[in-house]
Amino acid sequence: MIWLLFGFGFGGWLLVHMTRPYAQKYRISAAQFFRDLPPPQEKQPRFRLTVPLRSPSFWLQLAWWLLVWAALMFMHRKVDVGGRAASGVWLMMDTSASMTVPTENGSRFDKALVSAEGVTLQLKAMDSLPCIRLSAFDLTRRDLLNDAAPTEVSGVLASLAPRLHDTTLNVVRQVWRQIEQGPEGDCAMTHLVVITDRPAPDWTFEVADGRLLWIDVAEPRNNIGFVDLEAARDPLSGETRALTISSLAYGKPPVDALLKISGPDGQSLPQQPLSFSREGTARNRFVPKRPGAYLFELVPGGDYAFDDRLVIQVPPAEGLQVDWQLNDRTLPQVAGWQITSEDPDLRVLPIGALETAQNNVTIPSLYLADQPAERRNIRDFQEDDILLADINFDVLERQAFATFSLPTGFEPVIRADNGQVWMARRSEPPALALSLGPRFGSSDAAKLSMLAFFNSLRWLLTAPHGDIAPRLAPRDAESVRLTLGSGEGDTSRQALSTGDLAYLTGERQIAAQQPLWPTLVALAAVLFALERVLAAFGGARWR
Amino acid sequence: MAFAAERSGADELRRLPANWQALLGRYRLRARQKNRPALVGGHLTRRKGQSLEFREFAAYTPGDDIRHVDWRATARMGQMDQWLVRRFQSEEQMTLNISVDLRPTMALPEVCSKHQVAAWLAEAVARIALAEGDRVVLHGLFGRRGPLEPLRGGGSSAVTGAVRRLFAHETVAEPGLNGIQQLLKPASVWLIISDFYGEDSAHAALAERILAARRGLCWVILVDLDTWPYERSQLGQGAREIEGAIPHDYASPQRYQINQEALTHVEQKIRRHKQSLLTWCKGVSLDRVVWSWPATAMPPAEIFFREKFIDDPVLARLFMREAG
Repeated sequence: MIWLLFGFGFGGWLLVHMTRPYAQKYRISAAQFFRDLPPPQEKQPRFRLTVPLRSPSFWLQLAWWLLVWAALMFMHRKVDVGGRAASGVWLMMDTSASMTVPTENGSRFDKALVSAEGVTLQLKAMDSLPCIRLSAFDLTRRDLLNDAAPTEVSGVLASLAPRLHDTTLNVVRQVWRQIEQGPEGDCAMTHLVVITDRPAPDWTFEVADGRLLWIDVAEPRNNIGFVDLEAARDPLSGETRALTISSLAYGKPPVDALLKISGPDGQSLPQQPLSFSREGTARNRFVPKRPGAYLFELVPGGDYAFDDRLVIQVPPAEGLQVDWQLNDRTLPQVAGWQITSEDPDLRVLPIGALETAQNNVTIPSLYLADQPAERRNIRDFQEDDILLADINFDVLERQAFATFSLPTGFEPVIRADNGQVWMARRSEPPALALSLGPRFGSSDAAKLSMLAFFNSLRWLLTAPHGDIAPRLAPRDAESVRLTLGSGEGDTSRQALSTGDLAYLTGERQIAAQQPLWPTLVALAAVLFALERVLAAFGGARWR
Repeated sequence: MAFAAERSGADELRRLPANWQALLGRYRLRARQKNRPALVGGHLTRRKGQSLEFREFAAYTPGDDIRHVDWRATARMGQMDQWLVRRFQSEEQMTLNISVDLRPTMALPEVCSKHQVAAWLAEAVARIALAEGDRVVLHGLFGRRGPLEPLRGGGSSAVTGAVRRLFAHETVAEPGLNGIQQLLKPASVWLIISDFYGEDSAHAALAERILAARRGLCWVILVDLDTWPYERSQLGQGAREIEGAIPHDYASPQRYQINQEALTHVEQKIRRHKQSLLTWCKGVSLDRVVWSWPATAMPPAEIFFREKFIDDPVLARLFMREAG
């Protein structure tokens, strides 16, 4: 596209220069004596093939076009520029929970402190001392020192310790962007040093002239940890039926790992073995018998301790919360449902409410028809539909049930011979219209109506719509809420650092590179301005 | 780099080439000599009622005014075959007034502008006159300022500087003849260098001044710088966009169909326009020099000027070449 535009522009410019004036221009002293002559009659072609060899303006414009072409052609080429020693260094220390993972010489954080001291020593030895800014980061950034001398850093470093927080590298990226914008203030930051147990991201390798040093203190270690939790809940009773706990092994998984479970009041429950797949995942299923706090532990847990214990609060069965808008409330009372209009799991309304219903309501809705009953034969139905599971069609045709017109936006599930339906559904938003129930009693009709009613409920309350989210709160043993699967437990990576301290101190000058195209565009702009100025003041001789 | 300007300024004019020093040195004012058959009434005659300061007796040579023969002195000398004539002081110092047309049309054609030729002519004539001890007055026709006067006895650089200052004048629509009136004395010469493309009203004012000068026994020489043959040859034939001497004059350029008929029409208009000045000056005799730019093979400006200057018969009467 860009080349197409360039081609059009260049071609149009050439065309302008080949344009022949309508009439050749002459400047003569006797011009006043021509005034009463008639204008020309003949037409002349406007274009001719010619090269304006003697036009300085043409050659300057051509040079401009060539520079623009070169900028497009060499858009990705870079040229070497010199580097320079640091004058302001921003030191960022990772204090996330994973820094507690042990290494051959203390924890990762201990190793990070040693690296930080090493950097500080090098900076102190520089001829021109840089100013220092010190920050700690995990999920947030905390600024600890500003416009400090290298000698002041050690004292502050000694007061740092890892925190029970995950890590986000976005804060580091923001700091780098701030440095890139240019120096500001007396302590102008020119270089960045990051000491962390996270690998250097891809963008750090594109930093030129050695202005960024990324020190990864991680060493590969084995670890297993909890990464996911799923809960299945009875849609009608709200009871937590089962928990599925996922674990992940980093590095080599232990062969005898166990899932220890403690129930409410601390009683020990049967342990479960952890069976890791080839991908390193293990899934364990647990059915809580009663509500309360359950403690899950991985034994052995590996070198990262904060993903080995999980406390799950299983809530008591709250029952279905229903916005019941029918006058007869017998059924919800019998079923033990909570009748509420605040955040219900289900709405039950008369079918007449369809006309005034809000279509943007995403709560599953059941519309019950109450027309006079009459016997009808079945005309057609959705074969193998879950809504018709165990429905006795003979009973349906022998007994009298009401039918109703198919509502707008619904599809029929089972239709009578009069063209009306007994059951219809809508997927978005989830809704079902029913004229078959519920009826209490022991007759065949009552049994059919109840069956149809509860089939409808199950359809409405089952995924992909009507999925009731588990209400569980995983916590560690110290009641600190951690994010499952945040990556803090991934201890098996090899370290990945970038940068060199020698560039920071100016002992080495790196051949930093900058793109070539801005220089070419700037040159083209200068030529353009020069040509325009000469055209404005140079007169006809210039053109 | 020279940029186009609205009028030919002094910066674009070149001085006379250095090898012209020797050439000019071989001339002297013809005004002190005889042989001015074209003059009527003789510009040396004093104006009625004024006396001339006697300087010396000199031998009569053909061409001297017969009325200046002093018969008593001749008789006293006893040589009736050798008449004696009186020489007067006013004869010795003549005033040469040079009026140069400064209008924008004189700035063309660009290959050899009329301004350049006029500047060289003014400079050449002024140098000769000053070398002879005469008085030279430079005047810009259609110039805003009054007449200039070079330094008496000044060298060539002073003359060049004076000519350049003349061309630095801002131009106006009127010929500006008031300042020169009192300088057109008897026995003076008025050299008018122009293309005579001015408006009719300007020609009328100029004609009036010429008539007054002639009545005052001033010798008037018109030097007509005629570039039409050259400009005509450049136009060729076909559709042409013709622009005048002022680049930013929005009345021009105009487009015209140029053919033989159109060129003849224009030529006749030019001729009639120039003739109108002579018609207004009817009754007095004028010396008119026409320097025409060639239609083909235009030589370099210096060569063109030299050929015109040396071969011109009227200017030859103003100077006289020394023997050898």
